[in-house]
Amino acid sequence: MSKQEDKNSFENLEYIESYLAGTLKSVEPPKDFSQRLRKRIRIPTREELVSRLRDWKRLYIIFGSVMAGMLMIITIARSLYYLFGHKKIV
Amino acid sequence: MPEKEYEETEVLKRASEGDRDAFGELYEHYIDRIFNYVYYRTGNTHDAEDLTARVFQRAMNHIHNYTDRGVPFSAWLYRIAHNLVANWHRDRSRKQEIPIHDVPVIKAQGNHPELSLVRSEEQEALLKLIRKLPPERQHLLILKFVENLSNSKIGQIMGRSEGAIKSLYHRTLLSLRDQADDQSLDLEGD
Repeated sequence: MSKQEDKNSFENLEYIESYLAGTLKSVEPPKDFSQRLRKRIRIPTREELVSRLRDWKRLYIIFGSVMAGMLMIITIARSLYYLFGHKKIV
Repeated sequence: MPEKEYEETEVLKRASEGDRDAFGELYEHYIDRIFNYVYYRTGNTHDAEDLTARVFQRAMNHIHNYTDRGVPFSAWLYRIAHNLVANWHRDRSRKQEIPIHDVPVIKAQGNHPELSLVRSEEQEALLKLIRKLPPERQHLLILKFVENLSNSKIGQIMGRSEGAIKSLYHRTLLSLRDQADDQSLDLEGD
C-alpha cells in the first residue's frame, strides 16, 4: 500500500470521525416548540384560503344569502315606514 | 421508538386519508429528526423552527399524494426539508454563521470547563466546514452522527446502495480533512 493510500485509509481518518461524533450531537428543540408548531399547522394555509375563495358554489350561496337578507331588511323598513312614519307626516 | 413497534404503514394510510390524529402521530415521531436536520443545515434555532414548521405544513397539505414505494417515509420528509432549506439558502444568498447564543448545547461529559471551551471553538470551526460541503454530504453526516443510523439505513433514506454510502462517506471525510488542513484547523491535536 502506498503512503498516499495509507494516509487516506479509514483508520487514519478516525480522528475526524471522533470530532464529528463530538460535534454533531442530537439537539433538542425548545420545550414549547412542539406544541406551538402543532397549533400552527392546524391553521389553514394560504393555499387553502385561496382554494376556498375559488369555491364558486359556496360564494354564490354566501352572496345570495347576503342579498336576501338585505332585501328582507329593506322590505321590513319600508313597511314600517308606510304603517307608522307615513301617517305622522300627513 | 423502534421502527418495528411503530406501525408506520397503518398510520400513514390513515394520515393519507385525511386523519389528522394519524398525522399527529407521524409529527410526534419525526419532529425531532427534522428539527435536527434543519438545525444543522441552517445553523440557528430560529430558522430551524420556522423551516421545520413549514416542512410539516407542506407534508400535511400533500400527505394525500404520498404513495408507499418501499422507501421510508422519513425520506419523503427529508426531501421536503431539503427543498425548503435549499430555498432558504438561495433566498439568503449569504453564508450563515451560528450566533453565539445558538451554539448547540453539548451534554456534559465530565470534561474540564477550559478543555470543553477549546473543543467548542474547534467544533464551531468544524461546523462551518461541514456547512460548506454539498447538501447530500451534509445530509449523510447528519444521519450518521446525529441519528446514529447505519450505512444501510442511510442508503434507504438517500436512495443509494450501502456501498455508495460508504464511498461517499469516505470522500466526505477526506474532503473535511483537506479543508481543515487548508484552514490550519488542528483536529489531530488530542
